[in-house]
Amino acid sequence: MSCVDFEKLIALEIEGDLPQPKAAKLQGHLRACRDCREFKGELLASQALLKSLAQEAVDEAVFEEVRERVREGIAADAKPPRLLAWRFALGAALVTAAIVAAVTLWRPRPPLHVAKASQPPARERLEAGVPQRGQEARATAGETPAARHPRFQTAKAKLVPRQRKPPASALAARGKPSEPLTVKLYTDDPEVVIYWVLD
Amino acid sequence: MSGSALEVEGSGKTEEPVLKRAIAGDRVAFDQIILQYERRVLMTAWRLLGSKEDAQDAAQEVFLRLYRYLRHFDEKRPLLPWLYRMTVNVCHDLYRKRRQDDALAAEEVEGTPRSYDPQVEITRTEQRRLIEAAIKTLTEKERAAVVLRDIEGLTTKDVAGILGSSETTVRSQISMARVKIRKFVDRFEKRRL
Repeated sequence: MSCVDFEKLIALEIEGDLPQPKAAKLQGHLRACRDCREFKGELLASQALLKSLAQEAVDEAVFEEVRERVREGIAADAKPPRLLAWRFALGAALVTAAIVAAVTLWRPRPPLHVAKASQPPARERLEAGVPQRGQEARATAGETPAARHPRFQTAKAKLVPRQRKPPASALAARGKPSEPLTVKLYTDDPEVVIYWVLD
Repeated sequence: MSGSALEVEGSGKTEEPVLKRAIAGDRVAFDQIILQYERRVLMTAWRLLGSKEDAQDAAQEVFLRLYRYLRHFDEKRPLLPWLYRMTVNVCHDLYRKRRQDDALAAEEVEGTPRSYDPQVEITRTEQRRLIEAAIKTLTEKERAAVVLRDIEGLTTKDVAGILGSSETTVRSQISMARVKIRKFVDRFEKRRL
């Protein structure tokens, strides 16, 4: 064993932490080694300083501050978590706002419109050969049914689909523009029939 | 080492009724427990963390955890080992957090105590500061072992129990720590001359 190894044993021996067989071996080395005896003396001095830290005086205010903070912590534990409740409320408000915004800004497919009771029932109009609303609109003002729907009045320019010109050859072959496909939905209310005109 | 100092002190007959009342929700009894152990908790934390403010944070956390845990606490068990264990754990968490926030000051790593003037003769207070600076150079485990063993005066067996290590490991840690402290002081004294 070198002196460095014995230093570790000395560090244990000075506080009684060294088991007996090793302690006896160390005593033998210490008798022969002056450097290790000196090291032991220095180690005892630094240990005395180390232990003196236990007697260090501390201002009472330091402890009082801790006590006060513990009391506050206990009181805070007892209160309902207000911050958490606020977070939930804020979260709910944000979700609601997001839903409202989505519903407001959502744009359905343009061709949807509803026939109201003020006009003759849709079935009668069809059977009597009365042109449907979409057809009227196209024939007269070039306006799509969607554009006339009250919901789209404010954003007409955006909602009017681009009119595609059929090729001249196709027009010549058919002689007139092709008719749009109309889907008619009957609802529970006999006064309300929904038409879906597909271009 | 035989005979646990903690068992003698931490489960004394005087402690048990107070602990029992505190467990039952008596706040006055809980305050008594704080008064009884605050010095040990705070000073241990101070040595482990190296700053008064951090030690206060740690002590506050330890007593709050005790309060929250109290209803699960077995009144027959000694309280002091639990408090020491909690102090070491809380300090470990705080130490890691502080290390992330701010690396140890270069002068401490280098091994010179803060604001220390080598020209000034070493007084008792300065010697203590030197030892404190030496403690800061230890690894976290060495520091915990030496603080509990040499400053708090616990037995090696108690320290092993608190740190969850074997006695052999603790002996190795305190041996290394004592040698490092001695060499730190020695290096400083040589620089002074």
